[in-house]
Amino acid sequence: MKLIILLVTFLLLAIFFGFGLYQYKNPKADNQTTNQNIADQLLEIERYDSRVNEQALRNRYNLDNNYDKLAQSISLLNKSISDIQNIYIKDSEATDNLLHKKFKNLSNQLEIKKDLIENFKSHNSIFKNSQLYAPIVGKELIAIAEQENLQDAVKNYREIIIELLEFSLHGSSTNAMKLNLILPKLLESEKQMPEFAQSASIEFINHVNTVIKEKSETDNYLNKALNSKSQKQISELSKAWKEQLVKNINADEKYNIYILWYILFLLAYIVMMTWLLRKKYSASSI
Amino acid sequence: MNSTYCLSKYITRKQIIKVSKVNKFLIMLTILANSLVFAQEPITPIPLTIETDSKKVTLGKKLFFDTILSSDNTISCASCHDLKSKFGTDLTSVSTGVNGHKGTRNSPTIYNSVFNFSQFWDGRANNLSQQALEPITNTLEMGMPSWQQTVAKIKKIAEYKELFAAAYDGEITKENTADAIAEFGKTLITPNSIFDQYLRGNKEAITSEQKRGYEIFKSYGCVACHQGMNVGGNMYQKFGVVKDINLLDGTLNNDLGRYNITGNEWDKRVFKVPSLRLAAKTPPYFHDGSIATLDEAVGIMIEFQLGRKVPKKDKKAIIRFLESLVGEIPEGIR
Repeated sequence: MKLIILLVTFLLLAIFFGFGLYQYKNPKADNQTTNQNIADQLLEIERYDSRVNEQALRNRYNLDNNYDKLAQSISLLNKSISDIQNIYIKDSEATDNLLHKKFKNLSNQLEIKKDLIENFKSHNSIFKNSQLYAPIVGKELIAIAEQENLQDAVKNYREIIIELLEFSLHGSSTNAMKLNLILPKLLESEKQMPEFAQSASIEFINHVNTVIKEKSETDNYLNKALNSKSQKQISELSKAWKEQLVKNINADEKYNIYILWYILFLLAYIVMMTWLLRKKYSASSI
Repeated sequence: MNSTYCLSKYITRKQIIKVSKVNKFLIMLTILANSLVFAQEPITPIPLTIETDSKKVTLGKKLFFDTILSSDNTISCASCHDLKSKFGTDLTSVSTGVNGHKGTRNSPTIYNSVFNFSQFWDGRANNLSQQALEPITNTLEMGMPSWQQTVAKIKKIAEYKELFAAAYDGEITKENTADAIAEFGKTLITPNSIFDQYLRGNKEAITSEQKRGYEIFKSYGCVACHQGMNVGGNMYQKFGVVKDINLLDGTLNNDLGRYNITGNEWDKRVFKVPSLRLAAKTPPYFHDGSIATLDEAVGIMIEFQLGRKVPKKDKKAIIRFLESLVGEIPEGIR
């Protein structure tokens, strides 16, 4: 009797132990849907990041003349990062500290990129406005100078406009240098311009200076945004995430094997116990 | 004969060189002009409808008009954003909150705000949900001590329990409250303006003066910042781009805009470019509401942002164009 109680107690304990072991199994590979969603979202982030680059270039070169698509891409990029961080990374047990850090780095990098793009948009608008207006007011000044027979002024205005347009298109330092050489001459010839043309002259100089300044600012912000480390970080993160997934799955498989062996052990124990009990009862009935 | 030939050849070459320089100049201007003429329009129509969750909208609408969201039960979202007669604003320089407190900035129209890329003048909220969180606990606006207390107030009302049950499985939370208000906010659009009809192909929808106003709006460069579906609302820009705003008498230079959020020097006096969709109906203007008339606002913009003078008739045409942007108030609000 004592033996029976001992065997049954041991069996029950073993079952409970096994059950407990199952509950505390590696949870990391549990939620395959979450893991797949994160992998998909990382691809989405990569796509949106590329789209931001593409649309910024389209805006810079006047293939798109409003910022709606660029703004929308940035908004989608922000949302994707936010979704991953808030919904999956914070709550999920599927990641370790290293991945958390990588996500944080990526998020910071994308914030920086977002600021660069916003600065690019502001400066690009100022640049485009002056690029458009300077030749228009320049043309008016040429007409006035021609009427007043100020040939030097006519020549200077023409030269500046051509150099300005070339500078706007190609941004070469040669054009910038030429502009800087011509501008002082222009200031001299403007003194000869009639009184009523003075405000137009001031406008022209302001806008020429704005083009020179804003072109470099615009291109500077754009280049920094396009060359940001976001793409590299997204790739590293995707790779690290996939490695983590494989690690989790392997750990889970190993664990499942242990559970299986434990179940087999229990079954063997049950068989042995049954045989022992049968043997005992057979002996006592004799 | 040879010398004559050489001379005529020289003259011809010199003439060619001289003509080439002028032609080069004209060609460049033409290329620039053509790139503008044949480019797509920088302004696009507002969609006629937006998809929303009707249960959330019903809840959001009730919250929007409910004064229980304020500490003294006198102020609702609709107090500063009057939807019926004031085109989503209160037509004052700055709004008045609980206990008579005055705000620090002009309340922009809530209409079409769903199309803005960020909310508030300084863009500190990324979307309508984030925006809805702030005024409720702002001491100058609705003055609730905390969101915890706000939620507690909402939970006491049976009708809200039913509405939240339908829209959010019964969860009355800060996030769901803001989300519902935002969902209602999405319905507040003013599509089908006569200018949008013009963009959609009805060339007779606007007058010739309005068409001229639009062309001037483009050629002056206003459209460099006020573009897209919302005629603004999708970028930030410095106030005083070409001419320093400190040169203008008044209070416009006091507010440092995004600098207050980012702390970056280059963000001083940078604001979100506002939408002009309802500009003709929502004076006063700019971030502090210090400019009373559209005429004055347009003049300041052209002088300080575009760096040029504007003749009266051009300004008038621009204003006529801005009037053509006013669309239809939603049916449930009219």
